[in-house]
Amino acid sequence: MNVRTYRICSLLVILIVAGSLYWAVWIGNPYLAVITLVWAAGTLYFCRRRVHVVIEDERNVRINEKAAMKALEVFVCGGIIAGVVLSTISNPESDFTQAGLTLGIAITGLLLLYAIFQTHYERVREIPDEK
Amino acid sequence: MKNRVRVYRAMYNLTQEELAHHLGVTRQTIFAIEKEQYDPSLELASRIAQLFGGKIEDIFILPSMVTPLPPSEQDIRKAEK
Repeated sequence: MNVRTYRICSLLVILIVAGSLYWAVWIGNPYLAVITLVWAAGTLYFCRRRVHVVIEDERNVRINEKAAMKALEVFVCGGIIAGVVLSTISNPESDFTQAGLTLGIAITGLLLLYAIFQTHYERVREIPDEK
Repeated sequence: MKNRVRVYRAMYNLTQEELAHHLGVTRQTIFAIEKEQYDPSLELASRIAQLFGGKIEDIFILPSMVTPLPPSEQDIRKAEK
């Protein structure tokens, strides 16, 4: 399988997963969502194993790192502003307040995960002192 | 960082695709290195130098020269002996 075929397969899988998740939420069936996600992971793994050319190297890894960091920064900054605005502009019983609080909890969880992984990788990649 | 990857690739009559295949990277990475848009890791730079049978400093050129440190006391003592 070449890279182009792999990308087409990945796109098809993503479209099928998106459609199935929407349908699962619509009919209220959580099992359908779980089965679809398991199928998607299996299909992508199978397709990836059949690709015999390099599709990811050190440059892609660095690009992914930068993109992930930028996405995290934008999400956290935007989320904090949106959370504060949603929590303060409306009364305590409204849905907006709940949405603001949920956003705040999600951002706190994300930053906590970031701190945990950062500490972990700092320790794993620690270079022993020669002296 | 400036480099002579394109020159060496032409000397060995390789395409970007072939060089990428030898090094185990994508063609886009070779293109980015040749355009000086991406500085490869020490490992990849070493592999490129090894493939072309040269030294890293022959292929990759530092933008500014670093002044070498003066010889250490240990080296001076060794030279005196």
